[in-house]
Amino acid sequence: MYEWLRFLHVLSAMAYFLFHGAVASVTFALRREPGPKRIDALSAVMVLAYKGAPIAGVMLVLTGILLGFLGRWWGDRWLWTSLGLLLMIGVLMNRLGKAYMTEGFARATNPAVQIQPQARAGISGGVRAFFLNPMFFAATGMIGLAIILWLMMFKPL
Amino acid sequence: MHKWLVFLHVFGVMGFMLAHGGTTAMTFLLRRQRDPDRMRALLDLSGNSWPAFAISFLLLFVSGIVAGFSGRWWGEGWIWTSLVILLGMSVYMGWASRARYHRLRKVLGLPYFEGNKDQPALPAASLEEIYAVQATINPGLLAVIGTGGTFVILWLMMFRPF
Repeated sequence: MYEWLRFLHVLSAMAYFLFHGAVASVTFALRREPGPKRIDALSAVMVLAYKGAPIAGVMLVLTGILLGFLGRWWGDRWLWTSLGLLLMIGVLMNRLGKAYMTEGFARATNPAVQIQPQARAGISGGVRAFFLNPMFFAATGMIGLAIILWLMMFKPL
Repeated sequence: MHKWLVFLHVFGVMGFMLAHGGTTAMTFLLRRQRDPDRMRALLDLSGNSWPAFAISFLLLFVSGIVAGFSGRWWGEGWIWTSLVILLGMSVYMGWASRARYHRLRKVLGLPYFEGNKDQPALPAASLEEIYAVQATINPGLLAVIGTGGTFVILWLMMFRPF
């Protein structure tokens, strides 16, 4: 039972990353300022990914919670730390990703929508460019994944 | 040392799934598109993920091979079976990509891969020709092979039945 749940947990993690990878590829494609027709195809990718990712995400969390009970790990700090980290990354990526996607899609579908020049300039422009950037999303996601994976495999706390 | 190798292997697998997401979405959506520009966007989406795809595959492959030595698993049947399935899937996917998707890239006027080298873009072919090449793509078969193979490999690695 425990082994099959662990199998399902890893399988749903793989499915989640597959769907999430589709979203990630769109964030990088938006950097290339696609035209209105290309943006339609990218929207279709997002729709497909958003259909599958929540199902895989729920499966991942549910099997993880059940494994925590079966393995009697809820008293261990590594499990709480990984859960907290997962939630933190999820909220951060969701907020920043949504802002980046909304801006990118708006710019591509309506060329009249442009970021105000003052938003690009100065320190706030630099900070904005740093955080609303697919490279930042990718780095945050990969570092977060590495830490969560390390916590789960090595159970150091 | 062995545990770190397994960590790298699992990390490589997750990275590989992330890098493969754009291609998987392209596979399913391409058949429905009638507009060449949308087809180009999907094909580019997949093509641009190639570096991440190659790096993560290399990481999972090399760490898996080395972990096989550090875990002393090369005498067991499950590791050989997984390796054969992985290689079989890679060969089939690579062939399907060249035979179908790069042919479609060619008729759409995108740079493509043929004769073991990158080829520059040619003028786009007629819509009839584009649709004819598009019709040869079978996402269902790719999905069955990709999902089924992954499922079996994961089961072999986690349960080590023989």
